[in-house]
Amino acid sequence: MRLAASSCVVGLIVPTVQCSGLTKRYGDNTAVDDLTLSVDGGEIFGLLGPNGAGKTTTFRLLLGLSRPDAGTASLLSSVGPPSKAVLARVGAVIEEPAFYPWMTGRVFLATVGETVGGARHRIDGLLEEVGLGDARAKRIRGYSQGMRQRLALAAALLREPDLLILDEPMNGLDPAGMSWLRELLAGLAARGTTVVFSSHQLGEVERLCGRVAVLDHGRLVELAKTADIGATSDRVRVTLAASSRATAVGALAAYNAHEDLDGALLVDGATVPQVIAALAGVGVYPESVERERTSLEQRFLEVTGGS
Amino acid sequence: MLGGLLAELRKLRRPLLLWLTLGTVALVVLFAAMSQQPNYEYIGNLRQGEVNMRLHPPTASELGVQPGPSYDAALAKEYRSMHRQTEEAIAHAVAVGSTQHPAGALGLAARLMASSLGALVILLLAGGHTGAEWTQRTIKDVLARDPRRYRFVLLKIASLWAAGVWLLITAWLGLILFGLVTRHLWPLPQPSPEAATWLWAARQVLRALPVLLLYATVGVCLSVLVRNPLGALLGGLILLVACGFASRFDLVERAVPVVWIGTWMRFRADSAPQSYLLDHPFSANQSVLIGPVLSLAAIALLIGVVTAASIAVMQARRDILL
Repeated sequence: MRLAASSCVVGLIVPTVQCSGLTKRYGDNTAVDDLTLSVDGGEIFGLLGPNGAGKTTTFRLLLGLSRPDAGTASLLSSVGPPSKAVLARVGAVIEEPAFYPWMTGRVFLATVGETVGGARHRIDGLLEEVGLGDARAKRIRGYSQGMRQRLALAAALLREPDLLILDEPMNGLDPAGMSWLRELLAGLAARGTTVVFSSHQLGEVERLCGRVAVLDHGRLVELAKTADIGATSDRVRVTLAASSRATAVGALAAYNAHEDLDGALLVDGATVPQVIAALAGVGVYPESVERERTSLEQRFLEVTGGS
Repeated sequence: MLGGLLAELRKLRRPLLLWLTLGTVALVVLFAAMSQQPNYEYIGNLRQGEVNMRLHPPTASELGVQPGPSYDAALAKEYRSMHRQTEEAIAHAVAVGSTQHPAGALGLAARLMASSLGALVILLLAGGHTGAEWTQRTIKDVLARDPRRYRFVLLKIASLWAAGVWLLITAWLGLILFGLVTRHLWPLPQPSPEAATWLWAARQVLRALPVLLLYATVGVCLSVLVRNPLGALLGGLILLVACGFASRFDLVERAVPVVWIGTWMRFRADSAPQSYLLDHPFSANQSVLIGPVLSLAAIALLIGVVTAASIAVMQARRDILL
């Protein structure tokens, strides 16, 4: 069993990824604006944001592909542009995966293996693991987008990295592929690998990530535990028979109750006991009363202004 | 470093190299055919002319003399002149005939790869091998695995140089196969002894190696600068034409790299038709003011400067993709 990716020094967890005041400008456009955040070892961390929010630029800054105009980025406790030794512990898929299309999947991984040193013995096993066992001898130019994503992941996993940085890894994956990826990432995190990834699949992010950061126009607009985002709602959702709905709305008039598209009642400004008491007072017994959890998608749209 | 070089060589195993190999072999074979066939025909015509002259000697009036001793003397002079012409043609054709055998073919392959033909092929390959890392956006993955940008440049140069050597070898093999046919089709006089031809060929190969390295270095530098295969090729062509043009001016002749290459390779402007390709533009104005050793030193210095410039450009770039 491997140790968690971050260095554990007498109980002190050193962040695996840390940005401090990170800023990157392209002319007048500030792609990343004073970004400060940290990701701990073994964590699955989601980086969200609308297109052009600065997610990919952040990844590029972390990997040394771009140099910041201000601030610092550190990977695996190493501040500044990552060295060869640091990147040897990092697997990354940045932007759209790019390949040498005339190569087969197996030859591509062998080429990556030669660049990073060793790991050749893992190639066949990895191809099986990412579901490309049957396509190993096929030229990459014939791969679908989903197969390319899987191959890029295999390349990132070749060195058994301590840190995985994945830029929209779910793009091009079918539902089965997304489910497979979810399990893969959860399994890696359970073994101590830190995973930082960006995605527009907010449902998947909500299911996978312990924490998320939301960027908008390069600025960090939200940084929270996924569980906390879900608990921020003060809305109660009441499911009840259609015949009782009008009576219930009258009984809950003090709390701003209204129907949603599914026919359930949404009650703002009330607690669950208050709703139950009000409905019981008029003889209405609902099928369920529960505090509604704000979905990550709702929160995302709130903090990014629906962009 | 070896693993990185192996990875770069794997990247080179691509359709572009296959097509360039076939194209290079076709060109050198065509070049050999264009020098062997006319020489064979020319010698044949001269020999036939000698035979015809003995069978049907020119008359005294045709020679512009009176019949008698003066006619005999004029006829003998005519025979000698015709024979000398044939012997000169045969002596000249020995160099061409040597290319029908492995040793001469190796020398010719090395000289062709060090000429403008080799420069063009390596520039094309450099664009596809290095410039395309940007257009195909694979550069980000390469440097996200190993951030040492100087290493990227050095590995590209080394692998391109290896590709140049590969092209030289395949051109040689192509010439050997072609020679098997033309030795019977267009038999030409051969040099002797054979060991001397092998020694000459080995010298050509050794001379060609630093020239191929220079081409690889320039190709990588252009690719790093323009980050585009077509741009790199176009830049290389402009550079080549500019060098050929500049070499025609006495004032700057000594400072033009193609003159150093022409001098180092001992390309001779007067050895047509065999070196027709070699002469343009590389030895059109072979300098006598700069010797081979100084030329090699200049080539080595240029390789160092261009490599350092490529590394400096890579290191200075704040965004690897932009």
